[in-house]
Amino acid sequence: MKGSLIIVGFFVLGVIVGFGGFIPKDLLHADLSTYVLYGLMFLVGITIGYDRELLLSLRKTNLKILLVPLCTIVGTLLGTGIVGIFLPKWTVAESMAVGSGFGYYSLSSIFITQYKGAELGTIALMSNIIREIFTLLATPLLVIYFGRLAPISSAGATSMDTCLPIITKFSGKEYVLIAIVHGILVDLSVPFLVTFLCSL
Amino acid sequence: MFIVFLMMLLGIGVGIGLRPVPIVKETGRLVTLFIFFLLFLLGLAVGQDERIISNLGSLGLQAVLITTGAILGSVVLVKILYHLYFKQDER
Repeated sequence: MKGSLIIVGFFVLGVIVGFGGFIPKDLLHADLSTYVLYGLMFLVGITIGYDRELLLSLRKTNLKILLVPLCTIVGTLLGTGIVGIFLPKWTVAESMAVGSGFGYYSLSSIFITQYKGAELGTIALMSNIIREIFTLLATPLLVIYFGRLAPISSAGATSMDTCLPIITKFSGKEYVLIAIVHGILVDLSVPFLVTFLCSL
Repeated sequence: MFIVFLMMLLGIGVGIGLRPVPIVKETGRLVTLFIFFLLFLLGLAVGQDERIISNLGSLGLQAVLITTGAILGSVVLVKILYHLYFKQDER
């Protein structure tokens, strides 16, 4: 939650600086964000490769556990696809691309801005922050109405970090491993799905 | 945009190679800094675009609609999965 506030803080700071015209438009070249994105992905790769535990915990998974991230991904694409039909401004694929952030708002909004511009990028940022905050607030209700897997699925990529404590509390300890594996797999799918859907 | 994935794969290789080096553990902090900077740049692009600024409310509404679809779709599927394969294991 604190992380979200800082992220939003930097975004808002950018909006204020941009809106106030404190930085001339031509000063920051459009290619700059592309190169910073390359650097970011390289660093993200290092954190994945360096983390022995991360790759090991994937080995403990069985088929049943893998069905949970699959349901999250398919369900999100279905739901956002249906909403996309009713959004006049965006195609079904673009709506699905926003959904494919799965709560991983920083990376997905950066990708979508790169491919589709700042307008859809802003929607992606807001939509994926809402997904995380909603899960944090609604987990007790989600368990009652949709079962113990629901908070994990609703959390999306954040089921292994920000939402893990609340999932542990309301779904139970036996769901912690599922939540972690779910988070890792959904997290890894974000760049691929967003890129694919934006290229349609 | 395949360069993006190439960079990530390259990073994974480098990360595995650098496992004996303890300081690499702090890479996560660097990732956070890069993310802050990129979101600042996104904010900058939004702030300089009057069309987006005047539509922030409408963009927020669209974000809420898309999120509703995303969460509803996934919890409905996972509810079916829960009743089929998971509920029976609980004591």
